[in-house]
Amino acid sequence: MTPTQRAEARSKEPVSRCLIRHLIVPSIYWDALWPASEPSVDLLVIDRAGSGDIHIVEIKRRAADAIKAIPQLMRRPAHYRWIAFFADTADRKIENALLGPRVLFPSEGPGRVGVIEIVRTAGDTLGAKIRIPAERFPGSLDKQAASFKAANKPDISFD
Amino acid sequence: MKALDKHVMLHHRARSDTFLHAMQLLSLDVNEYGNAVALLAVHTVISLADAILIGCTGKRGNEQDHRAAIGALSRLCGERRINRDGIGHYRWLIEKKTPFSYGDRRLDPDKDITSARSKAERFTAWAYKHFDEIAKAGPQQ
Repeated sequence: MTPTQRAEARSKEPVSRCLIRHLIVPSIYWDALWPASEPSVDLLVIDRAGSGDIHIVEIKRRAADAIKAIPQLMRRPAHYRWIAFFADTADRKIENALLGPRVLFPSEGPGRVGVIEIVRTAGDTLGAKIRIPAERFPGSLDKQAASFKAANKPDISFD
Repeated sequence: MKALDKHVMLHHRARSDTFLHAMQLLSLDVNEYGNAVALLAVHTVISLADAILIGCTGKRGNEQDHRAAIGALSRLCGERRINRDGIGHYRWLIEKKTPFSYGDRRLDPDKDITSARSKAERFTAWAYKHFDEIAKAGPQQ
């Protein structure tokens, strides 16, 4: 495992905790095949114990790589989409792009990709916080969610 | 669900949501805020039980006697043939409401406070898994 892969793998837990603080007893799946035909998404989070809205998160070490992952994130079904990256990898150009009118938004319709920052604190502990809140994308995903839940067990749940 | 019932249900659900979030936030510092965590755990489940009963039956629990909701929830589970696991968590918290609120004994960080938080979260998860009326309605966040 490369240092980058290690950093991204370690980030799943703090990013999960970050979303737990903002959602209601979510069910969280790591490396989820969502949809099954695509490569895995880093986090699939289903609010309200697996009965609510669906959030997906792509975690990258570098901010530039997270932004590059947005088009693929947009193709996956979800009510809320997020990117997460290490805060110290975002330069001025990235900051401007995140605040601009294009990067986080779909070409049409409602919704905005949210941004989660990962920070390294004392003792090499990782933390995460929401930098830009996601906005809801349209659509009902009840059938896909039911099929997924029947075939997968969450990595984090509140049962 | 009638429009008025839905409106009232969402009010109680939103209240439960805020109690839950406050409980989780304060539990980051149990030494300082443990008493508040325990009380918020109790009120999280009281509000959510009200949301369930209003959403599923149109009638809320007795605001003077929260134990009455145990029977109402149990009947609802019987009618729908769903497990009653969550009711045990609700009962535990309701029985602690008075000692948590007014008791002379200092609360134990594990036996009281961590357990209260865990039971509030587990009751909440149980409720959303089994009652679509409260899980699917209205804004999610």
